[in-house]
Amino acid sequence: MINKQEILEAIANAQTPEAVESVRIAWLGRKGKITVAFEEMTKLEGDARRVRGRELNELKQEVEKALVQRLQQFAPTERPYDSSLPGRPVELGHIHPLTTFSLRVRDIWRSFGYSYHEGPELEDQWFNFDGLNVPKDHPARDVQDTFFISDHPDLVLRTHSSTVQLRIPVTHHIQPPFRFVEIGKVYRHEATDATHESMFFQCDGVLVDRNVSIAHLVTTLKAFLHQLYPGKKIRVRPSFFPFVEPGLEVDVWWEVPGRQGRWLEVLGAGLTHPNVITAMGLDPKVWQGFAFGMGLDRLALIEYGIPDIRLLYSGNLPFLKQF
Amino acid sequence: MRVSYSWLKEFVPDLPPVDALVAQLPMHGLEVEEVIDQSKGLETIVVGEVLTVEKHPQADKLQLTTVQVGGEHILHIVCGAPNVRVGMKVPVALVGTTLPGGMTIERRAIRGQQSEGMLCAEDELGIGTSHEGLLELPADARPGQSFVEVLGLDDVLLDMSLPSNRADLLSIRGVAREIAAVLGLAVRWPAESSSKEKVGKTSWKAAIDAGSGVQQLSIQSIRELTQPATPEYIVRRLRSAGIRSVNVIVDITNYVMLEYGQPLHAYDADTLHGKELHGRRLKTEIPFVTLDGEERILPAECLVITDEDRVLGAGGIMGGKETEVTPETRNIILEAAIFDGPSIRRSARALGLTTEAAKRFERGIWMSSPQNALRAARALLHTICGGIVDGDIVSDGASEAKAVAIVVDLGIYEQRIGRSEKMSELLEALRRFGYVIKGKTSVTLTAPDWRMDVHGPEDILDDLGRVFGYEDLPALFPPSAVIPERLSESVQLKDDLRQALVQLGATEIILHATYGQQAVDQVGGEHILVANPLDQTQHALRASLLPGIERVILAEVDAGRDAFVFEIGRVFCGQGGVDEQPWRVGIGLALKVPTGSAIDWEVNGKVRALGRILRRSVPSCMPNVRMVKGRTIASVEFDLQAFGPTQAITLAPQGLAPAVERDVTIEVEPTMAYEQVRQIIMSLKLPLLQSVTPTNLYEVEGSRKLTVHCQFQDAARTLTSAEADGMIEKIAALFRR
Repeated sequence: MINKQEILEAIANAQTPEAVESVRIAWLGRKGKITVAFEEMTKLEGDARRVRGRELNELKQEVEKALVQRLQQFAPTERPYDSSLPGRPVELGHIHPLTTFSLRVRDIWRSFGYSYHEGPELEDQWFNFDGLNVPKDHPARDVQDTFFISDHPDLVLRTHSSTVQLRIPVTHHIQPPFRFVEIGKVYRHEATDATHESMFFQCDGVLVDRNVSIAHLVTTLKAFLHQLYPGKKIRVRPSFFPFVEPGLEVDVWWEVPGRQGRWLEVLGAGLTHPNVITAMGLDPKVWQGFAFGMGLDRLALIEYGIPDIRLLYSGNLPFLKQF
Repeated sequence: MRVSYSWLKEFVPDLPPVDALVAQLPMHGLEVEEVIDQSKGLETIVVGEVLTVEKHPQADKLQLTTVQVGGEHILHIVCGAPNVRVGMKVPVALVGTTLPGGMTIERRAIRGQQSEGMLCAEDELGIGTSHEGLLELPADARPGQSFVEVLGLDDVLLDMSLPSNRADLLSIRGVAREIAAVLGLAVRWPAESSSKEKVGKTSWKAAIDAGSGVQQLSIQSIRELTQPATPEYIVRRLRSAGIRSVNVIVDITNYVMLEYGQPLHAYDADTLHGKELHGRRLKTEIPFVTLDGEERILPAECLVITDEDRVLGAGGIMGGKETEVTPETRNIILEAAIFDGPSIRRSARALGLTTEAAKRFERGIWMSSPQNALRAARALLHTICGGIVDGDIVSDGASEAKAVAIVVDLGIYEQRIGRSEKMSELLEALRRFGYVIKGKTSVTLTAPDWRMDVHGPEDILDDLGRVFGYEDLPALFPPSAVIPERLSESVQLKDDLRQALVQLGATEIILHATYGQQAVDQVGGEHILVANPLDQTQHALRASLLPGIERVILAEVDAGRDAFVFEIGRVFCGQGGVDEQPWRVGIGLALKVPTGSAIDWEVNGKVRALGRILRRSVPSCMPNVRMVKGRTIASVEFDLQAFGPTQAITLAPQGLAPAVERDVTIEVEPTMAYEQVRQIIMSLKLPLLQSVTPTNLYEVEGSRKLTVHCQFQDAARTLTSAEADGMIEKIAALFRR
């Protein structure tokens, strides 16, 4: 037999929320006496079952009410809610800052209808140099600037991502008109310091079409920079790269509070050199193109205020977990 | 290259003021990296005349001087320079001066003696590197006169970064001509001095070996020179280009090089054997003492100039000590040549010498250059040093370039640039660059011989682009509509993997693609080696991501932290083909758990979750596991190509009666794989058992406890507690010992 008074006394005598909970389990838990009584009730017939059901339901409601009331007596007075407690640490994942920056750049170009392709990092010299109008004796091919490969005189670690200008059209057999970008690692034989690394990321893009002009190129690059650096002043000035002619560079006016503004070199570009169009296997009388390239590391350092480029590739987790 | 503003202005009289010029040049393809105002910080340096010098009573190496610095001002200055003497004129830094090195001059006591200024050496003033003693100023400098004025430092130097394809710009004349052309200004070359100074016919000869890489050798003999002091303007301009004054003859050859871009060499004619200079290529290496007094080995294939019986110098790089011009030299042979650029570069690298001459020969010298420079040098020598110009220049080799005519329809300018200019302005701009123009719109252009970079219409467009710039072009997008391709499977998988791993709490790392011998041994197998590594700890292309990942997590373990990292990158394997650089993902974990099945539990949990997020099958894995400093580290890598295809989502049927869930903790042999446990449970063939999932695992001293979560469900009705308890008891009983 269940004694209601006994239950209510037990609840009243419980001195902690845990004690209240054990009273609840003893009576209303999965094997609690009231729960069991409900199960036994199902064996009764007719009126007896109905009467017993009502009794038990009333009892259950009264007990539940008493439990809630008793619990409420503890809650507010015992301990105020501690909003200052940081809580159980949640381990978050982190994306590398250069990946984040690269994906931002990739997304902009994709939104302009550029495809995305990737080229190899270990590359034939022809794709890295000759095909891009950098002849055998060009100073850029010196040991000082390029990592060469033992027993493979034809291979280098690519020194720029401009390799894809040829690599993709030639090995993917894409027919013009086409346009695509790539973002990937490039390598330079260079002693490292706070602003120089022997490995870094570049984005390169190429477009081949009929009647391509500098105006098309500049408009495209300005549209890109408007996405990456909205509202910043931009200037375009002539420059030289072997694989484009005419060549140009694009600067962005960079202002940091408290420091003098300066022009920041962001993009190198130009109309694809006819020799490069020929190297793609196309006729430069019919097809022209433009190409552009940008180094991502320096811009990411500026973007995130990173003081030393070596932090990027050191695997320094306390540093990386800030991103 | 450092370019003197005042020198440029001699050739381009309408040159804008420095600030305006520096603002305009970048917009015309000429970059100014730095504007060096030489007088900056030197305003309070004045000429002082040393009146007295006495020994410092308390210091052996110091002396007490009195120095007259104009009017009646006499300063007491303590000085440590060995060359200080009465009567000499020296630069005096007055009290309050902050020297370029950052030192501020104050009135103070040095070992008990008052000092009211500082007598300066060259390096202290930031105008040179010498610290041999005080910089002695010309005797006619007046005490109190501005030091800047005396040394002519009131010039501004432009440190310019010039396009690497323009050999002709490594000269003041070249830069002046380019600036004038792009800014639309006139150039004014000083009148060529007449060649009347020539006398008679020389008996000297020049010869080259055909095909040797010495393309032209031109010489001029000059006799009976005197050697006065080098004029101050020459010393100054050499200094601003970083070249030290040697003697008047050498200084003049260097000065002409700066002006014309043609390196010149002067030999003391009396030290030469025979009367012929010969240009050739060395067949075998030889020892040789260069001008700087160093004994070097000239490499085989080095281009050299010889006389009758010996090598005189590494052509285009550095001359020899034996035949150098000394202060006693009276008779000289001036040499100007054209050497094959790549040969010069290789030899200069082999010798470890980057001289001003080599820099210019590497870029290339045009045909008319040697003789122009020789004419300029002999005129200047004749004016300054007198002497007799011994006949005319003698020369061997090509002296005239094949002029390449480029036929171009100037309508191409509007097509390729996207904006039109008046035809007359285009033609005028090209004329300023020195093009010879025939025709009106479809024109035939012949580039001047110094423009070795011009080959076709695109180069003409580039020249015009530098004049008219690329600002304010019409806004136009490329004409054709192109449907972009989808991201490739590989790129998409990389994106998905990165997102999934970050979702699981991992940190992305990007590491170098090379590692050293220790990693090579650890990974094993063939490695592709870098022929010229930066250092021996980076000599192999990585064939695995794991050594790098382990290095990173070990650093965390050392610092007493858990770690969970991943890298997505290429590895390089096989025989070194371009096609053998697959993408991999490497994952590393460091946790405070025992090495037993606990780490399998952790690794598999993450790998499973990865598969669930990706909805792809993850390749089977065999992680490297070891215990370091109380933590277990595990690392594993997968080829991206080994991941299965994306699977569709299969949804559980809705509207069924709710499942009843029960946990049971069982004890199993530590060696028993979970799959066996599952098989045993399944062998009961409980029809209502919907799923079995292990939710906890712990091992203590040879015993392994596993908590298994079971779901029981009948689609048609809700099961009672007792039914579920009965079934879970059957499972528990299976494992009770």
